This record gives sequence, structure tokens and C-alpha cells, in this order.
Amino acid sequence: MGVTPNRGYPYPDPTSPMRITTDLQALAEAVDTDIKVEQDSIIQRPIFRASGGGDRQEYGPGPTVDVSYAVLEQNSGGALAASTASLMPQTTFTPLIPGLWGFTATVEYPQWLGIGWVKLSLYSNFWIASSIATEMPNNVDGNRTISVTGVNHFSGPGGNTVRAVFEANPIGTRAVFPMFSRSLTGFLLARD
Amino acid sequence: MPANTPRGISYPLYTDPIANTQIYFQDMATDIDTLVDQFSDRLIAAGTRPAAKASGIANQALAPLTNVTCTWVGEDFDNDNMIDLAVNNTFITLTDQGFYMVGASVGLSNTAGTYGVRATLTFSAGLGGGIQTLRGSSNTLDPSPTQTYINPLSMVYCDGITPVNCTVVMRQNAAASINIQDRNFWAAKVSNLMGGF
Repeated sequence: MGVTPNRGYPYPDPTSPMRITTDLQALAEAVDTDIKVEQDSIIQRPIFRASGGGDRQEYGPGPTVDVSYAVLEQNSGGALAASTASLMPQTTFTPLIPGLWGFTATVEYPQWLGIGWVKLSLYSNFWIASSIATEMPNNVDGNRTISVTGVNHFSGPGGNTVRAVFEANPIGTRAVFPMFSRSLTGFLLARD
Repeated sequence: MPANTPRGISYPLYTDPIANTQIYFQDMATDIDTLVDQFSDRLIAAGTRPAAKASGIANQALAPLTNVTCTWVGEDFDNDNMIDLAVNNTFITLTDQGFYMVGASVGLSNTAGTYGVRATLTFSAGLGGGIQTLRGSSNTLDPSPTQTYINPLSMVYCDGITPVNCTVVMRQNAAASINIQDRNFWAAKVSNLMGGF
């Protein structure tokens, strides 16, 4: 009995006895098993999305606050541990697939009088990306939204985490303000 | 004389001698082996699509009204030989055919006055680029933010024949020089336009 070089499919070699039906069955079953493994590897791109749900998050005098998420809306392709949803609210997440990940975070906040600027950042073991927005001098446009997008490498289970950090001035003297809608989306760009 | 399926799997015909059955068997098994292995390789390639990320921390001076190309010191991720800092510390080079998302995050120190900052993603000649501009901060409102941040993002196609060199070029028009500080630069293939994933 021989086997093929790459996938190990069995076939009768010239010295084997003639067992056509048995050998056909063995080949068919080997191909079937192998194709199933390949088929099962085709999964949805690992992606997760966490949101604030209906809860608002208070932001005190600062200087910074880790954005907190109450609901895990999406967790596909093995992006996060299956238990993550039951652990909400969370501020940090550990992508499970080793590789390069992209992230987008968004925070909606009200028209805070006296605020000169806001900043939203993505962090892992180190800074990933930040966006800043200079506030309008008067309160003519209602709630505002700030977003940031960044890319970082993650090492997988037990490895580095991702979090979004919000900041606004004047630090130390600012009253407590709410943050409304907020979300963090992570998606795998490339595996290791 | 055995025949072949459209994808090259050989099989015996009724007229073929039964004495050669083992040979037909091996040929068929080997043909299926080759096809499934090619299929598996393409699945793996789809998951490990080319991507790279470079970073830098040390200050890089950005004088007024001067184009400065960001330099990179760290190679955070590279699964397709897209970064070679020893050869060129400003490039990410795309070689594999397909469509790429390219972006950067750049932190800048502040200086007095109102001024503009521009980050341009440049690609090899004829492939366009991406630009983001924003107003710099005089930083008189608070001790923080100590930095201004800019995040250009664009897409580019690599034909797989001519490598595409990508850079980040900064410019500002304040009265004084500022520094390019924390920064990173990345590219990730998001699809092929032809032939697959």
C-alpha cells in the first residue's frame, strides 16, 4: 500500500492484491476527511465589536479614562474568548488570533462648555494611535463624536490587550461629564 | 488510455486493461492529492495575507515649510519581506499582487500659534497617495495634549510585477520647528483584484 506525497491518501501499489472496492472506500474516506478539515478552516474573519449599550459612562476630572463597554455585540471567528460576553463590562480585550489587527474606536460626548479639546487613543503594550479634536467655541452643534483607527500586532492567548482611552481638558478642574454611545471594533488583518 | 477530469484527475475508461488498475489508482490518488494541496495552500495564503508595520519613537525634526519623510526604527510585523530597515528606513514595499490598505499614526510636538500639519502617504510614481491635514494646537489650554496627532489612510493596488514603495511625508507651517514623535506606519493586503482572495 502506498500513500500520496502531500496529503497521505492511500492507494494500492502494483504488488498489492486487487481489492478494488476496499481501496476505493479507503481513498474516498481519506479525501473526505481531509476536505472536511480544510472546509472547517474556512471561517468568518475574526472580528469583535463592543459597545456601551444603553449605558453612559461618567468621565471625572481626569486626566484620562479607559473607555468601558457594556455589551459584546459581535465575537466571530474566535476573535475573543467565548466567555468574554459574560464578563462585560470590560475596558480591555485580548485578541486570540496571533497576527496584525486593526481597530476603530468611537466615542460620542455632549457639548461640554469650557472644553478646549478631546483626545481618543488606542493602547496595547504601547501607544497605537490617537485622534484629537479641537472643540468649537460655542455650543451650536449638539453632541459630538471622535474616532480613532489604528493597527497593532497581538500575540494571542495570554498576550497583549487593547483598550481605548479618552481624555479632555481642563484636567483637574473639569466637572464630571458623561460619554454616550461608544464602540470598539477589532478585526484581524493578517495572521502570523 | 485513462482520461482526465477538467481539473486533471485521471481515471480509467471501460476499455482500459484491468491489469493496470493499481497504476490508475495511484495516478488518481496523486492527482487528487495535488489539487487538494493547492487548495490548502491558497486557504493558508488567504489567512496570512501580506502585512507589515513599522514604528519609531525618537524625535525627528520637522522644520517649517519643509517636506520630511518619516523614518522608522522598529519592525513590529512583517510576513512578506515588506520592510528592510537596513536598506531603507522610510519604505514599506508592496510586492505581492493585490489591493492594500495603507495607514499611519503620527504624533507631533506642539508649538505656539495656529498652524497647519499635513501627512501624505506617497506611493511609487503614478499611483497617487493619501493626504490628511489638520490644524496644529498652540497648546495653551492645558498641559496636555503634549502632542498633535494625525492619521492618514489610503488604498493602493500593486500589480505584483513592479514593487510599490510607500512612505509618510510630513509638512507644517508653524513659525518654528516641531518634532515628529511617536509614530507607526502599516500596510495590509485586503484583497486581490484578480485571481482569488
